[in-house]
Amino acid sequence: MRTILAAIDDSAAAMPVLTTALALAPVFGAEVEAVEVTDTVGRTAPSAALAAHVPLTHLPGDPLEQIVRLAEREGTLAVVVGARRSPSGRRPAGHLTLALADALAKPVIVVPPETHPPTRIHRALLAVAGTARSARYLQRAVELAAGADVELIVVHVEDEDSIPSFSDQVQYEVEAYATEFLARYVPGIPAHRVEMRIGAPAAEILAAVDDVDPDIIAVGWPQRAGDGGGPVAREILDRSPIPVMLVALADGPP
Amino acid sequence: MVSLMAETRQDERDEGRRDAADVDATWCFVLDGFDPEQERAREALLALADGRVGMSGTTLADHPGARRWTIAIGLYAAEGPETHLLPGPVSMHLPHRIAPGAPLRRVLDLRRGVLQEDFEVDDGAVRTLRFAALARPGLSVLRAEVPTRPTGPLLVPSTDGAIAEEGHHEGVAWASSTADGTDGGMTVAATELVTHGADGWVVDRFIAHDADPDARPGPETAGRRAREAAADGFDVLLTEQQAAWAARWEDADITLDGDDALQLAIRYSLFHLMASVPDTGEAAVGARGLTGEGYRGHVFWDADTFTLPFLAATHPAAARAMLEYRLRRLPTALENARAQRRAGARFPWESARSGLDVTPRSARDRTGKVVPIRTGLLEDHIVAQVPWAAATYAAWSGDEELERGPGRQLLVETARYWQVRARRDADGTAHIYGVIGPDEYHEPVDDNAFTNVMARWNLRRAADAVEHVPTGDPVVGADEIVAWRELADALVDGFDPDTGIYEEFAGFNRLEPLVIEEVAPRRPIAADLLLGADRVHGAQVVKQADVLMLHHLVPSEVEEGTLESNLRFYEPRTAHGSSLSPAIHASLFARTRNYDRALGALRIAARLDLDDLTGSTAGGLHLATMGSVWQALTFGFAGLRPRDGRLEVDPRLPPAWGALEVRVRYRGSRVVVRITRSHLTILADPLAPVRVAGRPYTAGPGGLELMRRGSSWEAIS
Repeated sequence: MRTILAAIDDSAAAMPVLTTALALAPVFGAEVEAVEVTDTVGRTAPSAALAAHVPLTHLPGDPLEQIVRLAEREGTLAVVVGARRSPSGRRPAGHLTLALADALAKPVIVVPPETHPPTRIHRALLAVAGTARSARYLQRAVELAAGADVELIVVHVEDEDSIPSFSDQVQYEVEAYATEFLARYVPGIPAHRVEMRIGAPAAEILAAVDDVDPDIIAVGWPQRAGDGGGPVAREILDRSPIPVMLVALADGPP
Repeated sequence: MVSLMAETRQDERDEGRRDAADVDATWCFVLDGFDPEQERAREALLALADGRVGMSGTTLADHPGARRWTIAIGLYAAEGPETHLLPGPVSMHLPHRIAPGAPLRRVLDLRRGVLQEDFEVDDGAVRTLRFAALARPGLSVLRAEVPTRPTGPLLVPSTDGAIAEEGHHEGVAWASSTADGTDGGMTVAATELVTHGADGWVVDRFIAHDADPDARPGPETAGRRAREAAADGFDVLLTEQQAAWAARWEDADITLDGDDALQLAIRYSLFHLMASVPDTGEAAVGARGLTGEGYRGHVFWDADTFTLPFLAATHPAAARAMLEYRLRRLPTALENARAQRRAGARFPWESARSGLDVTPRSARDRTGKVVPIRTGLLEDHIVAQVPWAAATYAAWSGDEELERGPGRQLLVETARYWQVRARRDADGTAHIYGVIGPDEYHEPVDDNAFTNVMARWNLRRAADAVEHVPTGDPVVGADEIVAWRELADALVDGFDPDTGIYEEFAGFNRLEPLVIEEVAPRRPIAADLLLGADRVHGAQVVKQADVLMLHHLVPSEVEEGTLESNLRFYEPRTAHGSSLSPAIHASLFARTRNYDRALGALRIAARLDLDDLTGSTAGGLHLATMGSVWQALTFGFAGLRPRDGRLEVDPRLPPAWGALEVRVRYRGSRVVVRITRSHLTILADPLAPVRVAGRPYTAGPGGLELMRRGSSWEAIS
């Protein structure tokens, strides 16, 4: 069975996490199951699972170990977790969240507790910062959404180092750039658009969220949060008002 | 049977070293391996064309991202800004698949005009050779040595096209393409000869293309040509191909001693310039030539200003075909001007089939914002570029018939346009308001120096052309000639005699004094993206050579001795964000003997597509940049210019080069100029008048030999 694992606890993030997982389920073609790793069963998580009609499993022990173990099962496609316990909670994202994203090769969707979670994913923003190398995660992100009726918008942020050398006639260059970008990094995606931004990557991507109004952001994740890696993705995680899907980069940071 | 091997050095052939690794590095462009991310650019890099028909250099074996196309010069579909090249059926494919990591070698042999592609499939090796027949434009040929006999359709649609009709005609498969918005189309016929050899099968495929912008051709002509080609056979056609390309290189090659990588890049540029233009009829040479569908095949000033001079100096018939394209649209240019309530001829900034302007009026910029596109309305200097191209052609070719006839009409009608486009002030000065110059970062501007000086050149040249012609077509009255000369004298050009610098346009000197050389992390750089369009609009940041384009194109029209002062001022302020900029600066740096900068800029331009520096090579090669590379070498380094009935030779040889040799045709003579540190040799057959160091000479087949004396040259034979 293909499942999305919603990792919840007795916090304000529980319901947004479950709602986001349910919205993602048709995208992945999967069912949702929830887990709460705790030695003391409370009321918030069970109530939320019940309200969302999602089966909930309670497990004792170390949350990281238990969630990783469940996530690594063959049928589990992704894990959805809360960014932090409450809307006013500390930023950046919690230790467990970052540790999960570092440990798992599968996508980890991080849900801010203050979000108004989507009930359906209509539009996804695929964020790419800087050099083309960081675009290589896109193919995985797109494959995850294959077959789903989701509009994919790639936002590519260039900075001083990666800004193009030439731009001849804007009426053709932009289309040529977008066509080539998609053909190289995300061939075969059905609905797509490329927008380019210049400036500080995280700020520009978050500004694009306002313009594009997506339901979710996808961003490459270097799986080196412990080393302070992935500063762009971390800043997006800290400041995003909507769920962020971290897709593991196979070959290094963005 | 003719070898499928790419060109090898003679000594290597003599030694019997036939391995593919032995290809001549100065003639053969080699791509090893299969890289899905790079394949789209490689499809353009390996494109083949015969002047009339171009085809993608896509791997013959299929892969998921493969795009295949066939295009024909001047064959468009749709109307207005949406006008685009109409792709035709494709026959360059084999029923195999190729995957990342699979052994694959492709060698584009520039000297022979053939593309070798070898790869491995499960049941053996596939060795192929293909070419677009320069000797028989519209014909393409493929030989494939394959382990198993190919099956499947000979003709398939272009990736972005469709087949409207197909069938068999007298034993030949054919298919036609067409599109909405046109009655024209392309019909392709293909036939194969398949023989069984010791190691498998040999497939010879003959593909004939028949394109007509007015009516989709039937299968008869293409079918007949395919059958004739098959009857002649692959070996005959390959021999023809080699001879045809040898003849073109004989008149166009540029050789330099001391930099094999640059040598190859230069020849690569010349190859595609030669392949993209026919030498009969009319030639609508789009921004990407026949190497891709980018820029929708629209014709810009690129064609007249950057591509045509190379052909005028090496293969005048092709330059004449380019001019014919403009001349046939002169009536439409007259209509364009009338539609603007102006007199004379207004050539469009972007042109396609009709000669009406097909420039889009708006587009999304990179941030997704819709921005107005005003080049079609305001980039008026195109009006002068067309007669300049005609004058350039006439100067190199000596085609007096053109000068007396349609060339004169071009000058007259464009002069009439400037006559009403310019405004006279009370102080007697004349101005051209609201234009865009080559520096498109600033729009609109008044009195762009480039536009005004080109208009002045146009007016004076027209007056000269008709002054002593009392009657004829076009009829020009004496008062009109006087008015042109008065206007030319009155046009301001922004020149400041105190500084020796031309102001790029009125008010440029008051803009924010921002020196992009110091501000940008590197150059070339798209400064409008780096700083924002508004900031560059308000700053002294230049996209590409603008004032300096005058020193390059019409040096006799600017104040003598002002190149260095203007180069010193404008180059640090130039972002080179246009692909047209680096080679022009290479040329000017060479003239001023700043060889490090000249070579740096030349290498960027020469490798623009080879290294996909624009990120847009997949849409086709930057033909105008390739033309500017030739101009840098010929005008800048070799110092060749036709002037006052003589070929002027004033070389600049960088210390890094042992020698530079440039071949051109000048007024019917085949001219070879060889420059070394100490000697200058000029061969001409038949005799040709030349000028070196201010002195007139006659060069002949025996060679005019000169020796360097200080900074000058002295004849020794």
